[in-house]
Amino acid sequence: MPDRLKRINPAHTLLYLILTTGAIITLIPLVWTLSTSLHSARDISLGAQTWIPTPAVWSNYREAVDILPFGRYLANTMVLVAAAEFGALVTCSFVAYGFARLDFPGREPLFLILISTMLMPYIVRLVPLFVFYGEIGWLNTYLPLTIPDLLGRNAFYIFLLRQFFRGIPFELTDAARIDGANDFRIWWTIVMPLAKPVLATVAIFAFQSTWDDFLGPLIYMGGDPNLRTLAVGLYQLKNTPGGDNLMPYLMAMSILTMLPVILIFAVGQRFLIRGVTMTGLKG
Amino acid sequence: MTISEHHKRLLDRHTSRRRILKTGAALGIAPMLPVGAATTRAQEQITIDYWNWWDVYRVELMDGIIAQFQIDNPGIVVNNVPQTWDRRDEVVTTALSGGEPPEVIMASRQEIVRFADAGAVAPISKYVEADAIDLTRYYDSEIASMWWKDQIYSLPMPTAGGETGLTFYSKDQFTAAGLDPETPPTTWAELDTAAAALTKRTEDGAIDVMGASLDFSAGGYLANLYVNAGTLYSEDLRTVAFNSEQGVQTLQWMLDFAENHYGGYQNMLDFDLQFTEGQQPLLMGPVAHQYQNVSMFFHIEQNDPGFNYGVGYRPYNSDNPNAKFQGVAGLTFGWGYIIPSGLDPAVEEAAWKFVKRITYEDVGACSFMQSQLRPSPLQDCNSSTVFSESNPHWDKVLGALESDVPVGIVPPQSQVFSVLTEYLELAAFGEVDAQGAIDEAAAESQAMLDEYWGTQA
Amino acid sequence: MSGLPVTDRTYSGAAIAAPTRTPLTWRIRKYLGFVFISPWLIAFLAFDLIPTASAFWYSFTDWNVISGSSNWVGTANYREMIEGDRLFWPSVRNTLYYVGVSVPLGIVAGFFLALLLNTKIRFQGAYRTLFYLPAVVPTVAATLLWIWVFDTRNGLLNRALGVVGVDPIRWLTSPDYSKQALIIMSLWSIGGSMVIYLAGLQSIPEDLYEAADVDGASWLSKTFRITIPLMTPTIFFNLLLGIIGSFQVFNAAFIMTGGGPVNSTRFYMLHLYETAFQDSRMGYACAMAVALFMVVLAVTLFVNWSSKRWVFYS
Repeated sequence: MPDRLKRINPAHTLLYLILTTGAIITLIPLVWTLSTSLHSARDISLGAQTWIPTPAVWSNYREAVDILPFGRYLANTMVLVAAAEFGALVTCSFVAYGFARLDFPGREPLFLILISTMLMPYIVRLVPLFVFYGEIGWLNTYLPLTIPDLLGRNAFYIFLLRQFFRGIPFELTDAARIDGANDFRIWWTIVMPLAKPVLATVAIFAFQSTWDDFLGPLIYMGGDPNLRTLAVGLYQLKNTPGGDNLMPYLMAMSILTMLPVILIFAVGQRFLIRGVTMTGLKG
Repeated sequence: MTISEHHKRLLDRHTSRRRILKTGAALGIAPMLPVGAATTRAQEQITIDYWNWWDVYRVELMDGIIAQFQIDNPGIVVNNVPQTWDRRDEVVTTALSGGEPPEVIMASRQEIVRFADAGAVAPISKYVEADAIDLTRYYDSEIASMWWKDQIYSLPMPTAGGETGLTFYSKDQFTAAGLDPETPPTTWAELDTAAAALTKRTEDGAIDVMGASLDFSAGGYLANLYVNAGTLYSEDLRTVAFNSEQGVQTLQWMLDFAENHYGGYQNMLDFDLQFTEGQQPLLMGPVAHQYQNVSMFFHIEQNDPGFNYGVGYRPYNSDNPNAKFQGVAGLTFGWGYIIPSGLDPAVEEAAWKFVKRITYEDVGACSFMQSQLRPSPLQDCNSSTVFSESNPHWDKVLGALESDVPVGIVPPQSQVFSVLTEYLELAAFGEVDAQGAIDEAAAESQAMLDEYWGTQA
Repeated sequence: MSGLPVTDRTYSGAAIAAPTRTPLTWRIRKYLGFVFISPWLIAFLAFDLIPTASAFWYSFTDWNVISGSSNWVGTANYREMIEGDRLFWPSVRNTLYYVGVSVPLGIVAGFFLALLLNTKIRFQGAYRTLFYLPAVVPTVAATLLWIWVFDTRNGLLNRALGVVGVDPIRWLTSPDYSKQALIIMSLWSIGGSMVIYLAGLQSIPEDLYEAADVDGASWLSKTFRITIPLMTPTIFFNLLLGIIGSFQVFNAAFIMTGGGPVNSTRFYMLHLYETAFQDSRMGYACAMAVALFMVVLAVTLFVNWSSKRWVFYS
């Protein structure tokens, strides 16, 4: 409909008006975050905050990175992200293939159970799991936050992938089967390449949720300061009893923590939406 | 603000931090050494994981203490693990609930009693006896809350004293309001007069300047109860005691204060909401007189060293002949260090050695507090000239500490406090009157005490 | 897609039981599925089933997580919930209110936003990224900045309302508005569901709209007669995720209001948290968790059942 674009349309003007207003509303709090991150701690303590800090204290960023070992936190976060990604892209996909393309006794009840694991509040698992991890010597290692992911514990990703896999025409896979391919090969050489957009979607979800997870790293790896993640580090900056006013550093570190996720979305946005489209969550 | 002014401010900020660290070094805290550098890898090396909330710049101070401790105690390695403040209930509870808990945990006074009662903490009575620890060095009010059922479970550090006793006020605002800046209010009546003179409100009733801060939390209410000759529990901790005449009177006074000066509690809440975390309303101007603990000295030095302020004691109810000024130790904050039960005896002993270092021995206990310019629970520490030379108000701090009485702590303390807080809030919102709020809160708290003591029979 | 996968009968073993298969391969294939799902099955047993089952067990005990003691108390915890615990029902009411308002609003707002961003506009990618931004703001920063937005006197929101003549509202300091405030805050981050709607919108065949254009249908009528019916499966999916998430609302209340004022934001999970970790009453907390699980499960099954009446499957 290119001709529709060319007309000057009052509805279009309204559309831009709504979107721009919405965008400003969405953005203002973030601008404030940025502004806070560029104030001196003293200005914040004394309430001398303005929208545009003069001068902007860019050194807050360097100091925020100095106060806490930002590099190490980043590295720890990346370890967890890598495990989450492998689990989401390979294991969850593998499991989803089983649920989507193979029939076996008890498949439906098992799938219902899989869905219901999303419904149970985390708190009740927390302590039993903590004790269990303690007994097998996993506490304060990467294991509690990597092994379950590597084994495909995430029901949501399995669900998304399974929705897409079910939609792949059987003619495609049956042809390969006649050529002698078994299901492992079909999964790896036919289904996986077809699923690239969905996998990208799952990858972004996995990245984002691992990046922002605070509680898991806090509880299971909190005993070793060398195993802190970025999210835990952020909370550590907040609320030191009787301590410094750390607001500017907290906000600076928030901005630094957000940047990679924003960049990934900005670049992968089209891919992401196309990916979700293909999961079959569509009209 | 010009650039040079700004840089000066930044420099000041660093200076104060550096100064603190330097003071630490001068007081005998060794410069930070790589952890474990001095220890020979003996066969029986013991590792102590030490969880605490001494965060940010105090990490360096604590590392210095640990380095010295490791030199003095070859064979023991201490891992300094500062924890995040958010969700600490969850972290501590989970850590103690199974697996391998850290060997030393910094815990609040309420937690010490709760964990001790549950058998999760090892008593240190035998070590206290064997090492001839002189408990009289501590303020009575401090050491009292370390005991539970004839066993001692920790030594206090930092102090829980001076938490509720002190007030800080702006001399400039006192002068502007026609009050004598050298005589802070000492009684409820004087506080009322001062608040009336200092408070400024807008036409629609909102608070521009809060003449005197008022805290409707359980801690804030109880601090006022104790300056009205009331107590939280009976001596034997089996009966709730705040449902006395003084208890109702205290709440009524607070409600009247909020209504008369601020037009009600909600105006106060709206006022508080304006300040983001870490802001200091007293230094900014909107609060003229406030209850605050010793950390205020640090905030002033950090943010506005030229601030013209005075320090006073919490005003008491002079209409009550039995009432006098007194602070309450351990009511809101205050810490100790616990050793989980069930450790290997050698490990437990090593953990004790470290606890002793940071709570009793000068090199750890005294200097660590002194370098932060905060008082210590060890009385003799506080007479050091380090304080009196750097803090002109130090006599007031000592006075507040000496006035402190201990507060009773029971294992279900958190439940009692949340019930009390809830009814105080209901009263503040006008949903119940003072008498009704205290009666209800007392009845429910008493039921919790009865349930607890019932299981002890 | 169909509703919940339970109702999925579109694909069965019969479809692949092509006549060329030998009985033996068929028998192996019958169990091959287990090989594929085995990693998840192991993870489920170790990290979900055993801990969850122990929670069920502990819900019948007075398990104190610190002392480790646990005595069988039968249904005492469940009875306490219903009759004894004064804060239980307020927390249930608050949570139901939150779910009941924030989920539909989130769906309408997210859907509307996606509709707008699905039109051919300039800077489409920039707009989408912008609206998605709040979803990636770290929780710590988000709550701090929302306290600042909700400030009664100088807050951004009341200043904006003041421009149109609305008196200041006590967003966080009045029990009448505190839940609304948290709901508004939840709407800020609808970017996550927007993405899923956008995906759904993109898969609606263009020719349907072209046919409607020929009939001279207005944008509104196309939206109601084509877009919304075809989007019902996506809406259904977001509805389920929204319900599951909202029942467990916690962070905003924990950090911003602490359950107040006057218990108006004491949500179920907050009450559960305090019971478990401040009072160390893990047995009772487990009973609360089991009850929540049952309710969410029932609601999920109900929504799934009702979806047959309103979800349109192509």
